[in-house]
Amino acid sequence: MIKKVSLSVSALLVVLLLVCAAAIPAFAESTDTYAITDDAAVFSADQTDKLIEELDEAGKETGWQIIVHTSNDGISSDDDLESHYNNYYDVQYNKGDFKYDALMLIIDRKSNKRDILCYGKVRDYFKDKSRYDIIKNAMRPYLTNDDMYGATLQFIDKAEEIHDMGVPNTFLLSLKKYGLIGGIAAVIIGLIFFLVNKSRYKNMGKSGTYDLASNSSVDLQEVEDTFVTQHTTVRTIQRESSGSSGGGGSSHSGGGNSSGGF
Amino acid sequence: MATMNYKCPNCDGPLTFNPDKQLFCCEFCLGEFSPAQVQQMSAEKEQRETYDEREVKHAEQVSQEAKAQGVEGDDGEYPVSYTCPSCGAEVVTTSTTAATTCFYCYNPVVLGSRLSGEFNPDRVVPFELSKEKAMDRFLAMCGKKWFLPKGFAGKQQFEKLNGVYFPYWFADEQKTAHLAATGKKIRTWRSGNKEYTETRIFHVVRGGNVIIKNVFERALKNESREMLQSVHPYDLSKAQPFAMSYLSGFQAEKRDLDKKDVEPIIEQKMHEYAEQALKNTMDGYDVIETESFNERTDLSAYTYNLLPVWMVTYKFKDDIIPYAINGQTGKAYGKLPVAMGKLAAFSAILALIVFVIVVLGGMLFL
Repeated sequence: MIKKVSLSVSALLVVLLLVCAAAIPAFAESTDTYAITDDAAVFSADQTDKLIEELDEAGKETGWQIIVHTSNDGISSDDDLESHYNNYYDVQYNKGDFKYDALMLIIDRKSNKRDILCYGKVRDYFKDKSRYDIIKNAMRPYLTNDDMYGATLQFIDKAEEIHDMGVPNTFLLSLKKYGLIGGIAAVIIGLIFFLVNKSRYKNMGKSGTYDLASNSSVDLQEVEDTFVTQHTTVRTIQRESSGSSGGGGSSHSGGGNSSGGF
Repeated sequence: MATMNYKCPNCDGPLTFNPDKQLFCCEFCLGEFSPAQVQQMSAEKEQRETYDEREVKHAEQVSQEAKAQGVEGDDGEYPVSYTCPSCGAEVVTTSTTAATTCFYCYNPVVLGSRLSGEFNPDRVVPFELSKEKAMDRFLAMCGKKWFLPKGFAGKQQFEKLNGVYFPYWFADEQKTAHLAATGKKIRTWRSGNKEYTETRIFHVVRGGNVIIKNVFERALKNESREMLQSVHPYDLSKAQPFAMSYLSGFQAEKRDLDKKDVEPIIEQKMHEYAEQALKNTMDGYDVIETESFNERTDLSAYTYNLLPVWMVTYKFKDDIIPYAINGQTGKAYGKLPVAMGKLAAFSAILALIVFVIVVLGGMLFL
């Protein structure tokens, strides 16, 4: 009987150990300058050491916390990926005190999705969305060969490069993005102003020359209002879409900017 | 002599009508006389002057000969000359001018014969707005216009403002009219996600006597119809029986369009107004569609009236542009010149501001 109980306890302990082993990441290390979590076990021990070295160096140079996170979460939608890892970042690193200016690379092995998220002041560096493309383009050849280590090294290298480029001029960025719309709107409004004023000057005092009400009178001798028919039409009103899916708003650290997945 | 002017009985200076005071005033002895007094003083003279048509006939004959030979004046008119009763100088006018000012002695001259017989107006609306008030009103209006050419809105520009009596035909008619129409009452309401529109259709008939008054049309061929029509409305209740003395100090034009010339235009207006007057009695309908309308004129009265207009013409880029102000109400009509460069510059600045706002606003959405 005692043997049977001890066997059960042993089995339970084994199960607990296995569950705990599954919950604990394959590798995770975090400092103020970097963080690396390799839940998908894509890096070898040597590669991890080398990455830590590179991340630490890049983090010290940039003043950012540079994070590499691999997982097997299997999130296939870009929006869900961004939302999920924003929450992850809040819980894991930020802890609600907006501590870090961080740049995070996400590699979801199960869904084969990648994303780059940035937080704090790093977002200013990525207001120029084409900067995400600099990183993506550098990583793409390695990702094609399934070389995650090489791709991650490129990510670190380009992060430093973008830091060195400085914060982009937002006026020029806006000019590039909204200049055409602004130009068209400006021309239309300017033209309307020109034509309306020109017309007002050319047509002063043309209207209202005869007041029929004060110059006429009617002595009615025949008044007839006969109902003929009536009809009713029915139109179905299209209800306006409620917009969001109804969920509560996210509470993460002011939102991280995303590369939109790749 | 068919020309005449009105003299002050105290000092023999010229008498002119003062719109502010509604009196005849002498600018030399400052004497003031009511229209009735002046008319009484000048009745005999007007009678005598009007009957002596020899000079008029001679002048008109010369004008006719010039017309036959195709000798036109600068403005395409056939000039007619008279003798100023004050200084004896030659006064040259167009064939429709009925009152003017002698260019030598600046005394007002009324060409009485132009407004006698069949050309005698029935009524005149005296000026109520003085030249100064007309000018102030115009300048005040110009002050609100940013895109006038520089120097346009100066007092000097409008010192040439002239008070002119323009001739108009007015018609009053009583009609028997009958209008049949389809009237629609439309009601809309919502229930759930359905919108219901109920349309009730009625056969509507109105018939009776319609009186329409004061329908007008210019009686002068050469002046811009748009300008002469657009200075309206006038308050005809203030019209006075015509007296030549009202023209003293102003210019006046004689009509050159007969009643038969304007009758089709006025009758068309009367027709439309009568239909509209009956439609206006069809209360409570959202839509009225005419099925049939017919009318018969029972009574018709046409009158020939002189109405006051302050006129100025200005030259802008080789164009002579007229500007008119109703001499009774101050309503203005005219085509103002536009400083295209200034307007274009403002439009460009506005466009630039819009552009900058869009780009700066865009920075918030990066």
